[in-house]
Amino acid sequence: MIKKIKFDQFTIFKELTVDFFPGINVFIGTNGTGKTHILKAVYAAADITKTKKNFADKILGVYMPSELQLGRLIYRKPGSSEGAVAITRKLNGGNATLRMSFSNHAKRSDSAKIIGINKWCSEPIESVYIPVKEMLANAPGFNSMVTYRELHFEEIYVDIVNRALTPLLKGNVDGDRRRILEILQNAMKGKVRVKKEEFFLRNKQGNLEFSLLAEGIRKLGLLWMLIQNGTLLSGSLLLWDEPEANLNPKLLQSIVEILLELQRMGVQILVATHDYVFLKELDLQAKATDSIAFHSLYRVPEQQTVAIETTDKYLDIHPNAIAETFTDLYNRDVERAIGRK
Amino acid sequence: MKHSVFREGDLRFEFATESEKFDVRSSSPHGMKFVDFVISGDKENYLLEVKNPSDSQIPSEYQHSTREEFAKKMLDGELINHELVPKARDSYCFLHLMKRDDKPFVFVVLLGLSEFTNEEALLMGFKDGLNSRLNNECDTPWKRKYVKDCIVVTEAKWKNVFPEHKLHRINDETTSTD
Repeated sequence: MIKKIKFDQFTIFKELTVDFFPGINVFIGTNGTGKTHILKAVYAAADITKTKKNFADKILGVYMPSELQLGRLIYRKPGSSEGAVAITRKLNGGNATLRMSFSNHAKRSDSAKIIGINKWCSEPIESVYIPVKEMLANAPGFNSMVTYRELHFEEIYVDIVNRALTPLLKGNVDGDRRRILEILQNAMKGKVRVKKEEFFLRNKQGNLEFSLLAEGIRKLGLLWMLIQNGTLLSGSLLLWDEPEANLNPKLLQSIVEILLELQRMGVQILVATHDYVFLKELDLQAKATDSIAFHSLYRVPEQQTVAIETTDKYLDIHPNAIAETFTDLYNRDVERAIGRK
Repeated sequence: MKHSVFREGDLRFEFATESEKFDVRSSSPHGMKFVDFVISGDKENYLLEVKNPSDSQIPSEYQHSTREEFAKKMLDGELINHELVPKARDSYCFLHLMKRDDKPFVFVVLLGLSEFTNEEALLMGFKDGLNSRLNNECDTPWKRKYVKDCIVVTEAKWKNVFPEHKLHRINDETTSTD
């Protein structure tokens, strides 16, 4: 389980600490408050526990600063400065912290100072990052192209295709996973099949290629693959950037149902969202025993930084950028109705 | 200006402008349903319907069933289709025939359910459903728009929307203030 992340002078964060819950961690905030940056940093740290890749290289791969210059990830201000990111996880028998620091002059990954890598990587974390753009429809040949060509694609896109193409886990699908797969099958009205890196939805009508499917259904198909092939199991980490993108709000009920089931199964989840329906579905479907944290990121203009407020109560989310939008709409609607402009 | 004071269950209104308890009349046309109040405004007049299932004057043995029934009506559309909109329509019809439609009307629904959400997104969803029904009650929309707009307010929102008209919830022990 990822316990905490601390940023110092890293991208838009002067200083920010996020304490994670073991279950679902929902990040809300206006554009530019760093939701995706948090998800990417956590993902990079989790991913290297399996790949054993250099942490700085992975950070460069997911953020892709210009010319892959590490120093461009330091909080922008005049002069020289140092920044760091430190992540803490729970291990059997204690905690482990991975820390990386570097200066704004760092050109390459080997300029970074990394501490705690051995203990950090001693227990692998199965992690998956679902980016905003659905990738499975573009899967055929994509990874081969990225391997051999200089393409400006963040590694999160390459990784998700690989995760979806991972072969099935040996053994039977357990009860928890089977239940979630059934929810997904009902929502998609079919199952997912893969043939030569191409994804299909198989139902009574036959095999429908993903490129012809609605993007929302493809997202459900991706989840189905990740659960079916054992990528998402107890102890896994799921990071999902804007699950609501290209999804009819009605489908969010199923998405939230699945996320709650995954959380109950032992998957730790980090989600960034702009969507009221997503938040409200969580509020309506969550049980008292579910672990859910709402992290609200907001700008502090006078300090030129971003701050965070965390609560486990839906109604206590503050500031709530999503609700504030509806408050503004409501007030403007009332003003229009009663002629007060 | 002298305020007009009315009670609707355990809600007490002090309207700062000319107002009328509309659904209590010495005689009414057969079959017509009316809103609770008509209140005059500067640019428009308000047709106010109060829905108060949290009324403390309801005997305690009926309070739970009253709220259950209210929730059911909200969920199955009966509240909008069979109560709110017919009252707005009939009230307009009466006022139009009485040549009291010199200003446009705004239909105001006050939801006095104490636990009801103050989440604006849900209030707006209810308002949109109400507005849609006000414009269309059969297979063809009305050719004439008879209410300019509608709004849905809760007790908490009332003082922001109508600061000039006071609203209090009265219980047996104290008079609440806003």
